[in-house]
Amino acid sequence: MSLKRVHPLTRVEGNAEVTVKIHRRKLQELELNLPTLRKFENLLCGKIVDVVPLLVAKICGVCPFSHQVAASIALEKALNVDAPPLASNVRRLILAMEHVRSHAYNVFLMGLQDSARLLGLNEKELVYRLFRSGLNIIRFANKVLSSIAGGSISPGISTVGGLLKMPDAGLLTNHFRKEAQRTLEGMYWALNLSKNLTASKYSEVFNLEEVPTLVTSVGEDYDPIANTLKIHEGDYWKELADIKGLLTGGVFTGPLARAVFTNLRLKVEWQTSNLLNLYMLRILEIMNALSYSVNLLRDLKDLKAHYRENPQGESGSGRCFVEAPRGTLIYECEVEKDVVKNIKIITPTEINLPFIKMFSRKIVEKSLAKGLALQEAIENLKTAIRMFDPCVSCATHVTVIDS
Amino acid sequence: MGGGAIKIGFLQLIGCSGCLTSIVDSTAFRDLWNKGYVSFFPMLKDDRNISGCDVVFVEGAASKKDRALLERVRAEAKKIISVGSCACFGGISSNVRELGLEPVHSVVKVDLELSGCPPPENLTSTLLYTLTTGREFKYKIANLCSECPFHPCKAKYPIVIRELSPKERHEKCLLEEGVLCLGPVTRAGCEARCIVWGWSCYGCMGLIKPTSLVDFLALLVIPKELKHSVTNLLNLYGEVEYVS
Repeated sequence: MSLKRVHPLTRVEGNAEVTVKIHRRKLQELELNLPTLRKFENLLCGKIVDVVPLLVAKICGVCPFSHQVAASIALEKALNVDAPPLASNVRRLILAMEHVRSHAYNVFLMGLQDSARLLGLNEKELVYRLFRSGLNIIRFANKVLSSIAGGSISPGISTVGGLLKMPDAGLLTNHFRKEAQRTLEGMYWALNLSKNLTASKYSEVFNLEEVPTLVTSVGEDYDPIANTLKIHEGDYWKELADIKGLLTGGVFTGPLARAVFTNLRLKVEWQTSNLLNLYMLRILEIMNALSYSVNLLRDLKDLKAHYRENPQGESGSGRCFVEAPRGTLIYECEVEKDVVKNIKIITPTEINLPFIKMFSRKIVEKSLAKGLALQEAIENLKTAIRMFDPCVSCATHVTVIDS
Repeated sequence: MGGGAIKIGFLQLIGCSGCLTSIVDSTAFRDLWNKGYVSFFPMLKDDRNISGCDVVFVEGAASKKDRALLERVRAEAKKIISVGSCACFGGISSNVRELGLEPVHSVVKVDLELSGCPPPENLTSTLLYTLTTGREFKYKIANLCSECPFHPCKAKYPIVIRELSPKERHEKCLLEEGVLCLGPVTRAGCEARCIVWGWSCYGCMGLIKPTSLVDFLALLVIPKELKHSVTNLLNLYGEVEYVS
């Protein structure tokens, strides 16, 4: 019996532990343990609605604004108010930049060594160039977020009814456009490099026999707050009204679902069934988010500066879907006299976890069946987890999964 | 600890990763990384051995499971630096009592605490530079009002609190408008970023001195219907346990 304990699982955001038990090159058991869960929902109950958007931004340090926007919209629905169009567009801009930042972390910093291993990149210069590209993209996204949201992580400006403050879009536009264009152009070589991942010698190991059920809330044209949940069945998408069953397994959200739904604005040939495409999809999403943001800024100029509406009610319930970098983020809340009575947060990681667990087993089994050494099988497993969803600390109420 | 080959570790306990990502975002981190000073950083590197680090930054609050690890780190490292409000005070998650989370200083001796949710970039960068240059890190002891664009407060005490958060854009001191703001008792350093961007200050940088909150509350009139919510906010980052 061979027991491999990988603790902590490195190059993921948050702590996680994977335990793999193998007997005579057959996988016996695979356990994916998450860190202590912070039970954020318990903390939010009883809080006055005005402070909730600030608090939920503390759930995840990588995607704080997705949580802030999702909470703001869910509370707006509960209190029967719509944010003005200008506020919604600023929120979209913030979310687009968060996607850029988060994906750059994932692909160029956390996942860089995996890409280098899979592509057999021995040239240190090339790997360093990728790393520098990542830091430059992050720096650019941070700069924009600091101008429109007060910082790259905190505090944000989205609140119930719209925004707390209107960023100075006039100042931002010229500077942003030029830099966005330069960053976009700098992405093509990384995109071309990432396309080669599916030609890796391990490619077969990462190939899905069956594409999971895809779920997304993204709208046409990559709108991250389109606010309808869609499920891919057969060859078409249908609206999903009932979220029950979303966490039962075999469901996948994130770049793969978004790419299938939007049919990729930057046309690229790719195989839906190979998970090694996920880095390429994330680079494509960085590029899409940059061009989407430039278009949004054109609209921002034409709108009058009305950015907050007062809520009409004090009680009610609301639900919201926001497309976070890792996938669909769901908020459901119930408010009574301006105080949160109940709140449920379903993070993309939570939706993806049962599928990750299931496919992690397959990665190890396929690697061993292919005759790869145990260490290589484990490396493939770690690569897969980072590639699927490297963000484990935002899970709010997931129970530990036993094999 | 001079300008030699210092080894720095970054340890994550129970938190959101925001403090560590803000460190990676800082200008000083790139320099440290390029010079090879970063020895342990599981979020970015595969090296899992924390032994041999001269300085260990700790993000997040400590759970019971983390005690042994922290004690081992304390025995080996020359300096432990708590970074962020979770590591310094327990943080937001410490409000969920059943988790039993506590600040790092409750488990082991801590050499320096850099609070904030997350800590401001200017302070993080300054701290990282001082580590490699051997200079002393100086942390300004002043209250947040000294950095607030709406300072000075012209309100007459006692101030009647009507709101917990600004309802609309403000151009003067929040307390003057009857909005709860912990700026007068909160440590400076963040350049009042929450207030500048339309929020109120809830004290993530920590109290300027332990008794200041009680003294400050004596100057406020809090209506009965707001008392519970105010208590929640005063206890938000876990530094104090205030009972109304």
